[in-house]
Order: sequence, then structure tokens, then C-alpha cells
Amino acid sequence: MLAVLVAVDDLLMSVAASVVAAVAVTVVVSLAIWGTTKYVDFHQEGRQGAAVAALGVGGLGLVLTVAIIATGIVMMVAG
Amino acid sequence: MDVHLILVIVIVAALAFDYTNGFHDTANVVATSISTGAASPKAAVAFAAVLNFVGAFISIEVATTIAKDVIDPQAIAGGDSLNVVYSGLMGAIAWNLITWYFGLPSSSSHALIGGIVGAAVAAVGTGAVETAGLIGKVLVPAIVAPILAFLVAGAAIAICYQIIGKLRPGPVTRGYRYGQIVSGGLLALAHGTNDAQKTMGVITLALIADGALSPGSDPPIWVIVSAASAIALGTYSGGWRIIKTTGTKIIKMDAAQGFSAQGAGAAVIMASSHFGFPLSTTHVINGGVMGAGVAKRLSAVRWGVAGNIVGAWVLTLPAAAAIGAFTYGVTVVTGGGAVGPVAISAISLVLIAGAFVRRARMGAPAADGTGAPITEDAASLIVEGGEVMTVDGKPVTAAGIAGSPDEPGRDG
Repeated sequence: MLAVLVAVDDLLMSVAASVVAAVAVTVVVSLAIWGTTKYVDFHQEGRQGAAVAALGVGGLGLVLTVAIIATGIVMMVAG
Repeated sequence: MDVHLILVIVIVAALAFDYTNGFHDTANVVATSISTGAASPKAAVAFAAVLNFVGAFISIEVATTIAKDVIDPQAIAGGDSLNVVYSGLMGAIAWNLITWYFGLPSSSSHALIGGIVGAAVAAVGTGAVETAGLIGKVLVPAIVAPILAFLVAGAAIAICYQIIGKLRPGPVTRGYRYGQIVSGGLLALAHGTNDAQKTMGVITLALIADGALSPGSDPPIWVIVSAASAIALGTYSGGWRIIKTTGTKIIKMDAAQGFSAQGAGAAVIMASSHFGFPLSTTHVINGGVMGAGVAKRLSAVRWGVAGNIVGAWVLTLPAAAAIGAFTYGVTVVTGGGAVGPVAISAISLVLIAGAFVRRARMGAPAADGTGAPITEDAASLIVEGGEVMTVDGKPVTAAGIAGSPDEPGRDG
């Protein structure tokens, strides 16, 4: 009865979208923070290769953060 | 003439409701950003106001749900249909005022839906209620969303700690503070998207009932702009009040927790808005705050306050419905024209003014100590409330962070 009244598909899609969006943004922002912090640490330790790699991870995290948020907003506006 | 006068009263009352919604919810939207030092109070409030305005333009799915899927507009169409919408609004406003006065946490959104359903049932019986819409799009999401925000925020903070656990705390805190500018902005955007649309939906319902719009119409642009403006103004005004009174007690969270709570709340509200679910944004944000708090330490959550929120949630729909039905009865007794709404509005304004004066004389409601309306501010109570909020070790005072450019006398 309840399943008939509730738009189960919409509800499940909403739940899935919430989980994916929040977890994805958390991961990429955390990676951005990890990368930039480790870049400084590695740089100070003289490990230039590792520092560049960490900076790459940080940069990728930033780019993905912007991309995920922009995608979400565009999807909402597009309906 | 009577009909148009009632329509004007309904629109004014709806926009006033929207304004108070923004006013009440400012604390929820900006609390974590301010408490973790991610933004100054002034910047956080101004940012939230602008993004609430922008958010109102993102989607109209929630407005459509309110206008079409809670009650059947054609079932209430007729002579006193506007009185039904008016009575529903008054039910919501009255319940908000009552809960504010007594310091009970409640949801403006649920009060609005309860009030309108109650008035419609009083007018034409249960046949006016869209049972599938009410249960499927309002009641079930209302239960699922806060729980989802709780779980998502808990998962998010666990991920944060997993990734950055062994790093130096200084850069990590700075990083998540920057992250909070984004997550706080998204939360404000989400809030504007979901809450402003409820007012758009009510005004659209009134316009359909009045015959100014055909059934099934989307909100006109002037409705969207006015609802967006009202919630943004309310957010800004509410924020200033909070800045003046919040020298005080707010959530004690670290920046990663604040980021996780805001991100989870924003994701749940935006996804729900996309599918047309009119949520209580307060409950969702509270769920996120609790999830981020409990993931760190179970005792960080003030479970008594959380219990009060659940209690108020159960009470809000029937109470607002009863007031909406009673108000409709009064409009019938007074002849069904504009006399009832005009008289009720005048009496309400006097009561509201009296309540504000009395509350001001009594001092701040005891429950949170901020003096701000409690109804939508419960987020500030859930996690480790009762500690003086500090930013970089400096207490946040009546007008900002002590010793910062925001402090009085320092900004020229």
C-alpha cells in the first residue's frame, strides 16, 4: 500500500544522488587538502618528486570538486 | 473586489511567511561556518542571503508539489477557495508563533503543509487531500531525509578523518574552512531552492483558486522573484539578529565536521528538491549536524534536544492543521468574504506585536540562550551547545569576532 503511494523510484534516486554527491565531494575536497598539505611536507623534506605528485593529487581534487558541484547544479537547473 | 482583496492578503501573508522562514533558518545555514571560523558572521550571513535568492530560481519542482500534489486545487475551487489558502497560511504562521513563544523546535514547512491540509479538509472534506502526494511526497521524505542526512554526514566525516587523519592539523583545518565556504554556500543555495518554492507553491495555489491561473500552471516569474526576495531579506535580517545575540552558545565542531554536516545537508536538500520533495530543511540540517557529531563522539550529541525535535515534528502537522481548520471556520462564520481575513489579520498582527514585546521583556528563551527564535534554530543546540563560540581562540561577540575587522569600531 505504502509502496503504491510513495514514488519509490524518485525516493531511491534522491537517496542515491544525496549519498553519491556528498561522499564524492567529501572525498575530492579531502584529497585536495591531503595533496596540498603533503606537498608542503614533501617539499620541506626535499622529496621533490613526491611533492609534485602530491600537488597533482591536490590539484585533481580541486578540479573534481568544481566539476562535481557544477554538474549537480546544471542537472538541477535542467530539471 | 472581496476576492481580489483576499488574494492580496494571501500573497502578503505568504511572503511574510517566507520572510520569517528565512529569518528563522539563518542560524541553521550559517551556524557551522561561523562556529568553525570558516567565515565571519557578517560575510556568512550576506553570502547566505545572496545564495538563498539565487537558489529560488534553480527549480520549481517543490512549488509544483505544493500547488498540485498536497491538495487538489480544483476540489477547493469556488467561492471561498482563497479563504482556504488564507486559513492554511494562518495555521502555519500561528503555529510558528506559538512554538517560537514557548521555545519549541518545529518546522515551518510542516506547519505550512499541515495548515493548508487542515483548512482544505474543513472546507470540503478529506476528498480535497491528495493522499498519495501527501504521503509519498511529504510524509515519507520528511522521515527519510533527516535520517539520510545523519548517515551521510557520519559517512562523510569518517571519510574525512580517514584521508587526513595523520596530517598536521593546521593546514587541514584551514583546508576544511575553505571547503566550508563551498559547502556553506551550497547549503544556502539548497535552502533557498526548497524553502522559497513552498511560498511559490502557496501563491500559485491561491492564483489557481482565484482563477488567475489555469490548473496545472507553473509559478509566474513575479511569484518566483518575490518569493526569492522575501526569503533573502529574511535571511539577511535574521542573520543580523543572530550576530547581535549569538555572542554565546553555538555548536562546537571542528572544520571537517562542519564541512561534512553542511555538505550532507546540501546534498540531501538539493536532491530532494530536484524530485519535488518539500522537506523541513531544519530537520535535514539538524540530521547532518548530529551525524557529524556522533561520528566523532556519541556524547557530543544532545539527545534530549534531538528528542524534542522529534516530538515537535509529530505535533506540528496536526496542530497547524487544527489551527488552519479553525481559522477557516472563523472565515465562514464571518460571511466567507474579505471580512474574516481582514479581521483575523488585524487581530493576528496585534497578537504578534504583543508576543514580541512580551518575549523581549522576558528575555531570551531559555532553551538556547540566543534570543533568536527557537523554532528553526535547533541545530545550534544539538552538538555540544552551551560553550562560548570562538574563532581562532577569540570569542564571537555581539557584532563579530573579537579583535577582528568585524568588531564594532574597527570597520569605520
